[in-house]
Amino acid sequence: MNTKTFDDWIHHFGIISSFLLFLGMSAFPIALSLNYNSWPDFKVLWPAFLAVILFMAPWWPAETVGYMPIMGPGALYMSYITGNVTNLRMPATVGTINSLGIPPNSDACHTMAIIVCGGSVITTISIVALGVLIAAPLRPLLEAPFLQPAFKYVVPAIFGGLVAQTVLKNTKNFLLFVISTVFCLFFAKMTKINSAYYMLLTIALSAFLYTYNNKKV
Amino acid sequence: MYSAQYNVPWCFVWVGVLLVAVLVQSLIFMKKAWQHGLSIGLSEVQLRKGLTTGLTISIMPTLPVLIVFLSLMPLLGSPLSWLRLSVVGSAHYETYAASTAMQSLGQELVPGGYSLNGWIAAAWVMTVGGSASVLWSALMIKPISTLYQKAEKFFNMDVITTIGAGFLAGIMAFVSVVYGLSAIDTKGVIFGISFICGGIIVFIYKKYPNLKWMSDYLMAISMIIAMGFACLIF
Repeated sequence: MNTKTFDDWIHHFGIISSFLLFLGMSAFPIALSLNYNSWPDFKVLWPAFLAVILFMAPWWPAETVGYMPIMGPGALYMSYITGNVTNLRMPATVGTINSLGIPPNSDACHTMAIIVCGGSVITTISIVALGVLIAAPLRPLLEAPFLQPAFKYVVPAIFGGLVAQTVLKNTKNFLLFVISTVFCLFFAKMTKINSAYYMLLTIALSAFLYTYNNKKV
Repeated sequence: MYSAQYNVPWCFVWVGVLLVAVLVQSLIFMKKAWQHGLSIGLSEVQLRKGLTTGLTISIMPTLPVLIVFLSLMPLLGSPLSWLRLSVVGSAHYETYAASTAMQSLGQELVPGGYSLNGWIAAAWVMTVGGSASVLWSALMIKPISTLYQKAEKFFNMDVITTIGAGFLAGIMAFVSVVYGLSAIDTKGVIFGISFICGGIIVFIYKKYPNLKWMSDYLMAISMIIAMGFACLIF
């Protein structure tokens, strides 16, 4: 299968399966309402729908545009079904391509991202399902006070090592990373702009700096 | 109390079937990607390594999801919590969605603070509102991907790779700020410890190329050491 046929298949399958899963998820509350004969008053409830959608909406374009060159469409279709794009699927993908030396924004990178994200989805779903089965005996361990900081800071703990691996593998571009970080820190500390927007600005600046620097060399 | 109604067997079956469907989607994607990977020159070893990384690196970060499940389960019942935390959902988002739905009905997400109607309203907002991102992905990933492919036709491969590296560094700059530097005395400390561990490992395998295998374990080692320090410090 050549790359174009593969890409076409990815979109075809991704779109159809996403719609089907969306229907399956949305049918759950419909089944509840039918079963209990209790329908919410949507005239009262619509602001809650809107609030929930607006809460996450800025991230959708930001993640799709920002992560597309690294994750590719297939991994993104999968990741949007199960969520946790930034804190699970993306770092797992970046860690793997770093470790294997696969260049970002390549066919190999996007293909590998599907394998990695698939593995990550299997783990997440299996662990949560296991948790449903053995929630009671697990409770003392998971709620042990001395372990709480570990769980609370698991995301920074993932990203520290990942950032080191990514930016230190080629130290000649380290300064460009520092410039982008300072730029991003300015928005985080000095402005009230939603982080989804300055994520895009930071990525755009970084891509520009890399391209400009590469031309100079 | 309505706890029996929140945990009826057919709800477990519904959620179970839906999650099996999600797994099937992933497995089909993976099978096709595996075949394509081999056809473009990726080796079985590389593909297996990708799979192993995906499977293992997600174990620790999924544990906090279980904690949220344990806290939501007595409030919303097992099936709804299970569905939301397995598909699309995240810890802070689910609590926010359920609370918002109940507040709009004048009810509250506390034990005894809402009726069956409030619970069903929460289920509506959490699942339909929360799944809007799936609709976004179904409608928008293809056009955005196509735009990228069109733009790439104007550049040679070197430039495309450079832009990709720039995107990656930009994402790393962003996560460094959001998950580290923006709160230097809390998450910043843990981020810094993990960064130092990662940096040391990079230094070691760059200096001693026969230790390159360490790069496979870099993320896991840095994460576990930093989580250990989090237990000691906080």
